[in-house]
Amino acid sequence: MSAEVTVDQVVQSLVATHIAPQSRPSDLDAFLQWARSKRISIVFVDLPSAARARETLAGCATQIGIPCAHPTGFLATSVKAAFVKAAIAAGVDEIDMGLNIDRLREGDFGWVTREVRQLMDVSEHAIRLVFTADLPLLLLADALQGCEAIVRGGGEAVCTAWGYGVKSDADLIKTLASRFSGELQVEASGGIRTYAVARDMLAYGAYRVHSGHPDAILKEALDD
Amino acid sequence: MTEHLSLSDKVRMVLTGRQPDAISLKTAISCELAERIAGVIVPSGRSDLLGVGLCAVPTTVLIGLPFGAVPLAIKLLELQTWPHEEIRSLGIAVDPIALAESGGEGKICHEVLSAQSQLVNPGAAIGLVTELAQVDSAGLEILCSIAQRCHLDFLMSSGGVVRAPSLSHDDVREIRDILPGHTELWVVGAIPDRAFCIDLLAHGADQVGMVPEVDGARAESWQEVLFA
Repeated sequence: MSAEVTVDQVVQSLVATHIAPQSRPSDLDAFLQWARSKRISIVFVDLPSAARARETLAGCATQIGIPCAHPTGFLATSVKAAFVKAAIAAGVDEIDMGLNIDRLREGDFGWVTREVRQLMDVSEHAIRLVFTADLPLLLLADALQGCEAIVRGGGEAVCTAWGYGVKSDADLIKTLASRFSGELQVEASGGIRTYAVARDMLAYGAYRVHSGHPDAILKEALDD
Repeated sequence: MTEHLSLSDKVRMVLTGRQPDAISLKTAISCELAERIAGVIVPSGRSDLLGVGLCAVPTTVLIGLPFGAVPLAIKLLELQTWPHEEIRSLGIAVDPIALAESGGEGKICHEVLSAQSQLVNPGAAIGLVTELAQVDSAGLEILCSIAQRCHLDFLMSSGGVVRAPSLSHDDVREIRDILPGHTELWVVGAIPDRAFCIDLLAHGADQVGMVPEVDGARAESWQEVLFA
């Protein structure tokens, strides 16, 4: 199974994130320089750092993403919409958009669909939106209904966790990738720290893998 | 003796995280527990809790979560999503990059003054929120300077969104010593039990914020935490 995924595929599918509670300018610069040297496909930084990332990565194919409303999704829809507009203006390519974890937990899927639809409308496809929630914290049935709500709202991609201690397992990725094949791109996130896990997630059907430890994964990939 | 001390005017419930028992917490807010704590701390996006009785509790609204790296315009927009008369206090998450950069102090002061000017309730307290255990001494000095310049009412040691290193009682004493007298120190998160809570207060914390997810304090056990 895993042998079907090549090292190049893992490297190309890797989403490298640098979102930390006390990030310093030097940490950010080192991360961006590393991403440039490794030709990472996409990096995630905070919105105020997007311009710095764009400058450092000028001339590279590396895309820039930002998180919004992480990790709980507890932000008014109007504020999330403002985030989308600001990100488009800043030249950001992609947003990991937090879905309200309580709405999902309480089964308010109609509300989720409405929010997804509003945000997709605001984006006008000028930016890629990946709807994100800590799905491992939900009952599987609620996670599946949450993904259905994203599809009904016109969303095209889901990311399975924010990290910060929440881990996605193989069964979740397999189930989502199989159930929503052709409808949602499923991005695996949460607890992906090794090349083997990243490779397996892709083999199970993940579209991409997110990691806050991309350097370790790349190092292992090159040694593989 | 302190074991029987009521902490009700010193402890706040922090609802910024991914609590697995959010529904029971909502129930707790709407019942008698609300009258027995100093207040509730919520992110701006939880105005839905007003519908379950949050308005009965002194409410601190936080903007710029989780870590403050949010443009000022967005932070101010967050502020607009709350009925201002319900805001007893406002916490602004500090961008750590700004804190570490040249000119960052002025930028953060500008954020405080901008938010302050938009608050309808002139008596609302205003403070800053940062993961204080991870701030170096230079950053701490800047925060104290901002507290002085902007006459901050409080400095909060964590947004409570993710698990963060806790402040020790020595940290608390050190910060209290350099923080202006008018600025309260609110220590949030990673508080394992009542004894630790009392210890923090004894060493200079003015308020303690307990995060149910981080501290393992489920709604039904709050009475024990507060009134052992």
